Amino acid sequence: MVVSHVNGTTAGGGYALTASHLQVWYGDFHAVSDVSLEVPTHRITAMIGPSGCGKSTILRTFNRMNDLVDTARVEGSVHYRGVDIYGPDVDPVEVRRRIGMVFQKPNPFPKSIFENVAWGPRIHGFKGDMEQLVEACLRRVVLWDEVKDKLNQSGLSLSGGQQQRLCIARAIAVQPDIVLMDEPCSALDPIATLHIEELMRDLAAQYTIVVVTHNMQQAARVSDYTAFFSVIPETRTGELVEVGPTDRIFDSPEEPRTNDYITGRFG
Amino acid sequence: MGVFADKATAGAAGWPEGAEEASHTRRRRSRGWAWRVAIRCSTVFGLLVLTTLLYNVVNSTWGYVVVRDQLSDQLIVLLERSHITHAERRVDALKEVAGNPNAVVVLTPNLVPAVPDGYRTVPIGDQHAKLALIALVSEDNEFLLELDETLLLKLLPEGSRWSDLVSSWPAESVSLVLVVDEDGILSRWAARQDLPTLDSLGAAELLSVLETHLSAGLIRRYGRDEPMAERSRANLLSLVEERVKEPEVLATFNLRESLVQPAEIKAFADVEGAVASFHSWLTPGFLVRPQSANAAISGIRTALLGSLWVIAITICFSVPLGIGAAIYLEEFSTRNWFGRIVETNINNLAGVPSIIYGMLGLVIFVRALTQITSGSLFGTVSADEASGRTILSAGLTLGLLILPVIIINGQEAIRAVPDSLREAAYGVGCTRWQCVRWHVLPMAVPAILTGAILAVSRALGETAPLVVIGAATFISVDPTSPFAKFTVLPIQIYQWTARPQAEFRNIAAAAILVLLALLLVTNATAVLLRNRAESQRM
Repeated sequence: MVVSHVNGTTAGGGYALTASHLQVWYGDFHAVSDVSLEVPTHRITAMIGPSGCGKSTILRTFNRMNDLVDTARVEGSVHYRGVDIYGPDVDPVEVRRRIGMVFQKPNPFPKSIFENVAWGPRIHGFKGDMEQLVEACLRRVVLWDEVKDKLNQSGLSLSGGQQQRLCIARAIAVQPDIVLMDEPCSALDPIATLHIEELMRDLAAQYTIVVVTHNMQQAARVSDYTAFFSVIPETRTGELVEVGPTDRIFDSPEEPRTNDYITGRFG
Repeated sequence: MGVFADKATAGAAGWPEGAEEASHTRRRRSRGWAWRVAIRCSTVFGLLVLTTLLYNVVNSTWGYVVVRDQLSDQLIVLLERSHITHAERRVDALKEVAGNPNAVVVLTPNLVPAVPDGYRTVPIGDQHAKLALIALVSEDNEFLLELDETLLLKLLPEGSRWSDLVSSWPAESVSLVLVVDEDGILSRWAARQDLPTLDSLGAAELLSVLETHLSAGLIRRYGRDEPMAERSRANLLSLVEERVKEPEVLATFNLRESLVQPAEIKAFADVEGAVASFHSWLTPGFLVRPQSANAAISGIRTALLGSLWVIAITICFSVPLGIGAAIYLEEFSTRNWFGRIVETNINNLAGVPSIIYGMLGLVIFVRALTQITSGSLFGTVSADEASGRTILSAGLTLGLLILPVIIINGQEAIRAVPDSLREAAYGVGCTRWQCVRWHVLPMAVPAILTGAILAVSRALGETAPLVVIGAATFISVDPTSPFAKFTVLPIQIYQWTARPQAEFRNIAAAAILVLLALLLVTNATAVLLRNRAESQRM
């Protein structure tokens, strides 16, 4: 698969998200220390690293998903459109509407396919033509032709790959700016994975995408930028090692640890 | 010896080999077998206990019952169709007619151990041993020396005169007194006469029967409930059955005895001059009749209605509250030391003996909140006669009792909803409440319902707290509002089993069957609701 990688810092669009000095604790456990990261607009940023390095945790701070964990505590700031989403006046509901999320395991609602897509717009007060919106979203994720005759069937009746595309349709139905994807292909077979990857490239024209992946080939295939995370063995605290255009990270990483990881000497 | 000759671990240190491996495998298998037997035994034991329980209840619910009416049908008709005065067993009462040469008292010999002064006895001829009858006549009566059944029958109709029998006797009208015996001889004598049945009597005649046999005060009391003249024939007939026939249960037999030795039971009934009949204590009438001091005609209507009222209030009170608390604790409160204390407390409360809840209910609902629970605040009763021992108090107390159980079950059910569903919902930007309302609750409802219904079933069978609250021991008025006095099925059953008369244990068994059926209906409803909720989920 050929993808056009972008060289240089940003392709004119600026940054969709700017995280500075992010730290996350779970209770007493210091999960991630001091992450500063810029997410370029309308690009795919991949976050890679060994297990337990905090990449998913960082992803979840981007739309305040960690609020749902009672013990989680976040320090630092994440600026979105000039506003710190951890600021005192910010409603996480509004944040999540603009920064959507797709999860590791496909998790459609136990409702009809139509309802899976329509529920988000409905709770946000969408008054327009719902059927049209649902169709557009399902077409966007290349699922429409497969499900157009069974919109009333359960979302759980679909195959894993279809379910994940349904989840992406659900995420984009509320018209977000940014879609966060937490290992979206780890529960899928290679063919379904390929479909999702194609879809990600396709969506990048319209959305900013941040994807966490275990799979370095996937990061190399789809992403424009790559952030490499690692874990400090003594404290098991995650940290950001290096971030840059994917080409550069994979061809000539600056940090020896990055090199060790992508060449498979350490994982 | 193992089955397979070569294996990868051959020779490796630490692995059992050959005979050792075989015996190790055998030991593992036999240990599994022993556990399986133990588990099966415990299941069988449980089933056995349940079967014994059901057997005991069913055994007492059906069976022969030997009943002797105070007055047989025929005797009632006989007394009604003739001019006979009916005197009950009391030979003393006969003194009123002493010295009256026209008075004849017919009774059984066992009632006259010694002939009173001023009387002489006249044997009634053509007697079977069992049908011995004797007539007492005044000593002033010099002509009646012998009496047979034919003559006696001629004396029955109203206005009969001595001269109708024998022309030389005086033309005075006879005053006949029948003394009802306890061994049924008079009844059987009456049964041999050609008389209409009790069922064939009209309303007017039934009314006259009641007026003859019941005290004026009792008639007035019945008249206050519903004027006697306006009552239906069926109603009057049932009054006669209850009050005049006064069936007395001599003995009851359980189902096993009835099936094994029916002949002995019949023989026993014959000796006692009573009727043995196969009786089901559980009848449709048993469900709709109010309580009575007489087991044979007592029913569970008031207890059943009381139970339904109380349980309705319990459900309305505790189910919404319990589910609400469960949602709050699981979805909204943060897990800190305070939340943990609350949760530990709820768990402990679920194990508190129910009688403690009864005392709590007594203090709070019956005493402190009398104004509300008695309804005096709403003007249903005046403040002076306000009593908090009402359905409302009982329902609220039982509600408190099962509240912790509902909360715990609800929490379990909500906790079982996978977090991925919540994340999916929050991921599209819903609020906490939207997540709960549209995703968590629909998913958890079947399990919540199951827990709630199990708790309600427990409340349905609860006795101790209601005894403390003060359920009425005897009430014959239907409960019509939450502010009514009440009794409930378990209490009714408890009271009946505590009675000395055997037949009350039979109706207690019948009531237990009704309670079991009610529990079955509740649980079946729960299963139906759960299946419906599950099928609505996609």
